Amino acid sequence: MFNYILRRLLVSIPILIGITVIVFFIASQMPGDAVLAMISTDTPQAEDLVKLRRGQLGLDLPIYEQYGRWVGQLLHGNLGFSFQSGESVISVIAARLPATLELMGVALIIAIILGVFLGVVSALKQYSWLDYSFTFFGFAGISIPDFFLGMVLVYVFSIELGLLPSSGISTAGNAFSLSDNLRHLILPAFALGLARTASFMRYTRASVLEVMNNDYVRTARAKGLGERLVTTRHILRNALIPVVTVIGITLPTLFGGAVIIEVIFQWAGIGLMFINAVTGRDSPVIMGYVLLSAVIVLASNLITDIMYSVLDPRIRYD
Amino acid sequence: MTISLNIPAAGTEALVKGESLWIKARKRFLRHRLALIGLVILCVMVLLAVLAPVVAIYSPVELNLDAMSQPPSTTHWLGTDTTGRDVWSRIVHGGQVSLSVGLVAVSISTLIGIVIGSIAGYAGGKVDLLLMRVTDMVMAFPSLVMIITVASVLGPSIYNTMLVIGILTWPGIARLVRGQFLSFREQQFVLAARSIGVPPIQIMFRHLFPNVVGTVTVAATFGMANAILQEASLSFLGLGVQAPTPSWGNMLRDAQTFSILEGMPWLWIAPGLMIVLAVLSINFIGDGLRDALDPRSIL
Repeated sequence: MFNYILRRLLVSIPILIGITVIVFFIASQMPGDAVLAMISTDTPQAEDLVKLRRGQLGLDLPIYEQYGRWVGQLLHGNLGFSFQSGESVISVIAARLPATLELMGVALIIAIILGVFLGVVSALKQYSWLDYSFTFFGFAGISIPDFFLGMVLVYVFSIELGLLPSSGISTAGNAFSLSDNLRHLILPAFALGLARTASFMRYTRASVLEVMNNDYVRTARAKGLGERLVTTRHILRNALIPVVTVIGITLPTLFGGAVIIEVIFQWAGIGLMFINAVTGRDSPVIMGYVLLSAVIVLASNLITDIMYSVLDPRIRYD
Repeated sequence: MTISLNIPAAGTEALVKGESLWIKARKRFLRHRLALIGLVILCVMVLLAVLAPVVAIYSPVELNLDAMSQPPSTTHWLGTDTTGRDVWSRIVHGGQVSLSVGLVAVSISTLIGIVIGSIAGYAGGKVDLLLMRVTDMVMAFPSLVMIITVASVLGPSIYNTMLVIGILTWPGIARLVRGQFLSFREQQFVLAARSIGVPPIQIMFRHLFPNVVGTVTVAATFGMANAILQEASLSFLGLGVQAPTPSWGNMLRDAQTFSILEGMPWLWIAPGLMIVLAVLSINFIGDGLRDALDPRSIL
């Protein structure tokens, strides 16, 4: 077990290095010139100013040296400074990360609870109308674009019914309060979570159906255990373990979805920051965000794999 | 006492009926009702897109300031947008764009996936290790995030949208092909081919590849559904297909303001539903194809 975890960690290191190379290379190809965007070219001293600023930002060095400098700073926890605001990227991200984690976390919880529940019901009532309609719902879930679902929810719940706020993380002008924040969270979290429910549902259903046909389930019934006990103790306990892996699979799409949802609901997290940076050609911020999302995906895949091996003692990795 | 044995010998049943694998696959597909409905809907959409100049008489891009922001009526079936362009016309022409972006993007990613997956799976060893590490790296990035980033580097256009989605979504198919190749290459027909001196390229494409066509077709179908969604997201953010060219995604972009969302729902509900309908149909077709071509898989 320890060896397995160690090996997985070691394999992640070259991937991590590859990720930094890819991120840096892409950012260096960004069109547009941040320096020109910051400095007015109308003044006579403009040319010198631009040169000076380029030197300060290290933009005049060869690309591999720029990469070296960037990685060196990275190791000191420095992601560079925003071209637009001059703030350090790490502090901009740190300030906005909680909002995104709150949104993604709640969406994930919605997806897991709803998805597992629907999947279990679907499997236990296989080929019933319930099963068919849940399956249809699942297909609809993976077919609706996040932004359309978001717009429909806004239209129904905040425009037509006037029940919930449609943008921001809290009411502007008021002091921050948790209940106000949670009211703002409901629509974006559901918009993000509902579409991901489908993957959990489909996987849970398949897993439960597979376990149901095992000999030990038949044995449990044969020795006279009640159906409820067979279901909870023998079927679900074994069937729900592999569902953990779906969290790892869902996470990258959750990241992408969060970007869209944050734009629609003006949820001030790192996704909205990323899109603003893309529009403003703010490559340090873009790099910081892309790097962070890749690292989080990598780390969470690692954690789900380890969790899976801990939860299911039948699995041996050596 | 004799017992008549009318049971045919093992293996002869299929011969008697004379059904090929493809006929069986087609039968299984035709039994999948939702897949059939999906196929019909998709065919209608493709037909509308191809016949766009015939079925939509108004220009999808020219402004008509005499007919701004009109609700659906008999002259403008789905109403007009804030600059007087006919929404039905834009939807039909947008279908051309969205469907072809999806098709081209998935063709690119499937091709890359097949090449990388078959080389890794057939070569094994260090080549496999290297290619799979590269695949892991690409997979570590959330695909939409990476698509947005690369699209902003290349600059937004319809061709870049196809290219970006294509070159960033191949890892799934590569892994699939690699896994199948790894298991097939140990089998005797490959050994036989190798022992009579068939070159590796020919073994890969003549002997191994036909075995993965079914699985790849299924994956590519789901891939196309995804590519359409990604194009829509990208165009929605303004980084994909650019105005005035309509695509279902960028039609929803215009509807982000509150006044349109509330006051002119025909502007965003119709393109949104078209995306859902197209993607749903393709997903159903994919599900039917899986039943038909790849019956062993559980999901």
